[in-house]
Amino acid sequence: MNGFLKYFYKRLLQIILTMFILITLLFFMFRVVPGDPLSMYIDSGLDEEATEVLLQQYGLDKPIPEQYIIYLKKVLRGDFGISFQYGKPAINVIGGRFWNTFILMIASLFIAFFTGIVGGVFLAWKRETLIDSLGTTIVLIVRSAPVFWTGMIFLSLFAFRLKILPLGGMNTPGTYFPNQLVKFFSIDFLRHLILPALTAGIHSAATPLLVMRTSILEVIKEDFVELARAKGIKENQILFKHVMRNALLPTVTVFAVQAGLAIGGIVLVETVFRWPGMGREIVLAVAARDYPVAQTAFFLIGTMTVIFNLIADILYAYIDPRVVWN
Amino acid sequence: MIQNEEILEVKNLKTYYKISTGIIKAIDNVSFQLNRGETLGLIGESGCGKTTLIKTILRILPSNGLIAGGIINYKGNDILKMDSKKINKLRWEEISLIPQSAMNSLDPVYKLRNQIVEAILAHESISKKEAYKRAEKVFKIVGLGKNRLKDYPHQYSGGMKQRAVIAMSLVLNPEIIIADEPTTALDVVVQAQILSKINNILENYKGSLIMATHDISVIAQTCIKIAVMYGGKIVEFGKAQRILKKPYHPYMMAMKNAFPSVIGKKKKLISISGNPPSLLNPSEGCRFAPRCPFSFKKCLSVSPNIYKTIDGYVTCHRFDEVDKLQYYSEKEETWIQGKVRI
Amino acid sequence: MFRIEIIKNTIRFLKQDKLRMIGISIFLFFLVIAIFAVYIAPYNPMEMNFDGDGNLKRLQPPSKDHLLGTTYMGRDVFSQMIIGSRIALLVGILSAFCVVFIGTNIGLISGYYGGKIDNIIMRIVDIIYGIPFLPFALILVAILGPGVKNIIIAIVLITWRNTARVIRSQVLTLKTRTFIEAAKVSGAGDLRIIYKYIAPNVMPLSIVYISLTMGSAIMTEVSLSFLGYGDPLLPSWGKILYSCYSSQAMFKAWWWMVPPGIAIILLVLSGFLMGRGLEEIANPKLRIR
Repeated sequence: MNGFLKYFYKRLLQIILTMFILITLLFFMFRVVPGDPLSMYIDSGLDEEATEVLLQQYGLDKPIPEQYIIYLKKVLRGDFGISFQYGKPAINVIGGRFWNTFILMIASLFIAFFTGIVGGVFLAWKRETLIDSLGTTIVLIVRSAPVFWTGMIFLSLFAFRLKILPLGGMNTPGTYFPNQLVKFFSIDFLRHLILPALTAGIHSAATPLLVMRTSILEVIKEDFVELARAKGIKENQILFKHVMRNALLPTVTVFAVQAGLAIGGIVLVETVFRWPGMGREIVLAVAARDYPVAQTAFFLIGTMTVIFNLIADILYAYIDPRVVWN
Repeated sequence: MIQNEEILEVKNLKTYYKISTGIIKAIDNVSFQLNRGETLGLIGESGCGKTTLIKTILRILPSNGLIAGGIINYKGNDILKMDSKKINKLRWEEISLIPQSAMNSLDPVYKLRNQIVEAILAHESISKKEAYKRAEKVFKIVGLGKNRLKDYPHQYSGGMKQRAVIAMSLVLNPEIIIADEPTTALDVVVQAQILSKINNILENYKGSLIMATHDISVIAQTCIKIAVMYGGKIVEFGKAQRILKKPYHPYMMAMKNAFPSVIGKKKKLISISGNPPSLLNPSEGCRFAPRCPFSFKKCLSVSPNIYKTIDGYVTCHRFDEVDKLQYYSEKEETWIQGKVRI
Repeated sequence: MFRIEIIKNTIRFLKQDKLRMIGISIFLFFLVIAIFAVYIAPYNPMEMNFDGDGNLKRLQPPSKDHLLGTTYMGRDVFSQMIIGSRIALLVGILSAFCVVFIGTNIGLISGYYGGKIDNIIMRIVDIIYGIPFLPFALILVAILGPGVKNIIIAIVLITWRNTARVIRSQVLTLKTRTFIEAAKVSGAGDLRIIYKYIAPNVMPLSIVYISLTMGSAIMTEVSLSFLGYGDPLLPSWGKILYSCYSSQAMFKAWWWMVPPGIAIILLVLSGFLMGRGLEEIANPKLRIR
């Protein structure tokens, strides 16, 4: 297990470095603005005096290296500036949205993982039949369709025409919940969660599904599967213990990459379904030129990406013993 | 328990493979017997059907393989007619396998210990602890330390993997062990080690061994009986000692010429030209005829009869002239294509 | 003479793979449409259309005059679709070539030199993997200003990471081949070895990634346009969907919502099939990581 811990620490170090680069990236990105870079931090609608005060507070009159240090210090304290739209600290605005996105991510990744694996196994089982061709074609289509378009189609079908699911948002307006926990487990919430999670989920599931299918077909031909059969082990056990476990290796790899990209997809899904998460917030903030909020959202989304990447790596290292030892 | 009791009888076995362009007749009418305690060598070039024969016996053919006919009698029961419960019981308990490529025959994601214990627990309901002890025992037999059991296959060297796989085949004390080219992937030094290990085990082990290989020297060191395979058929069957000194079939005569002897007079190696036959649409005649210096018209179109010999059988049209053929087979000119046929 | 052989072999090779042929056919179909778009589109895509009585032809279902109906502002959907293919292909092809060019070179250098250089480059790649792509592109385009150029810049800045990793893997396997050692022994310089001996061998893989990247680039452009950051002057399929969604007419006007999606599916799919995407998935050598 020692090698395992070493791997974990190495990855952790890498994450800290990545976060650092992200923060620095944000710093420089908002300074390449053509035109007035100050508009990034100070609402251009303020009068001269207020602007002066803020300029000093943010240290925007100082040289870049000094600004960077001030910036770093603020970020480490969670201070990303004041929202232009709401007048509150940006971190407070976003903070509320964080869990909404997180839950949507988890739900969609769960759907993606489950669909990808079960679907892959199913198509591998039905290989070279009509069902296989049909299934693969459908998967390819879902993979190639823009995730927000799929969302629009689902909304049209299930919410508008069939009227069985809500038209978007996270809650039915007017509903009251005593606390967060109750809210997240209520039927109302789940009804609102299904379509966006499904939309994002099947989009992320497509490539892993195809990989799973192919992996299974390859692994079944391996010599160690043949030997397992020669050992008199029941076919079911061979499938689960040997075939699945080995077929999962490349699938989890691909799934990890997908998960990283899924965050981008969440931005689109939240927009279409008007889900009050960080993704939607970043779009709204950028449109409203509320850069402090946009920065914060980007930072938090980046953090989430990095964490999910780490989880995927750890998961992979756990199931493939060769990784840690290399 | 009579020493010479027959435990395995293969009769008229046919196994074909379906491919996109047709059917490959990988083994076509193969028969032999194995007695208790015997070591049988299956010798032949790659593609002659050795591996197919082995996979057919254990019924682990790939999905495009089909057993087209014949009987495999194990202690009176036809393996080909067994249901899945019976065949799973037979596998490893009665007949175990040392596979051709130990490199790929171990699942990379499981420790060696688990892979061995898996085999044990599929057949016997003993505790895990006891199963571990058995694994340690077989590892000891092949000279691997018990602390290696907790390792993964990628942490083993080639020779170690081979030994692990041999150990695994012993774990249920099977009646027959089938070894498919157990030393081919190894270098000469390791090969010698493994062979001596195998011989060691054979001395203490009361079961039978079927060893498939294309290397005569390996067979010479371990086997009592030999089945010579060519083009999906057994062309000669009998006592190893006799066959290696005075083979009856021209193909075996050619094989004998192709291997150097470390002792004795320095002889020039004679090789035969040509390629193994395609088994996609094999000819009706003798499969070796196109490359045989002794063949004549009949050989190419008529399948040779099976002639019983003192210790087995041989299929060759010119068996009655075997002494003459043997004499000429030792001459280099015989094997040069285009020369006058004998 | 050499060239003719290559062409003949390529055609034969292409015919063998039916899926690839389908991909190429679809791609060529859109390419032709894009090239002749101005001649094919019956109306100006931005023009509002009025009927005989001077009423705006708003949200009209498909008819003889308007094959795919009209939008909320009375614009012809069919024309928008036709002209929109130009942006899709422009962004797709340009991004794909830039991404793969950069990614391949980085992969070649990283893989060949190994050691410190490789380490540094791979660390950078790892870090770039930590940057969420769409949010980054969104902010970049918002800051630099919406437009095709900036969209392509945003795509290229991040997407090269995939190609670099895969090409590097390939180079690592090739490095051990004897012909490389032979070249070294014969005194060939590093750059020469990389570009004369190794590069031609990774080229097939690069071409695979050109097709695949085209698909993902188009997807990105469409997504950014949907969020409102597409090029303000040029019509794009993503922008059609943006208008459709914002006008809240999507539920009623299926003719406005469905065609852009189908076109995107087909074009992205063609990129996947042309690059033998299914093969890429099957071959362990080509997998990322």
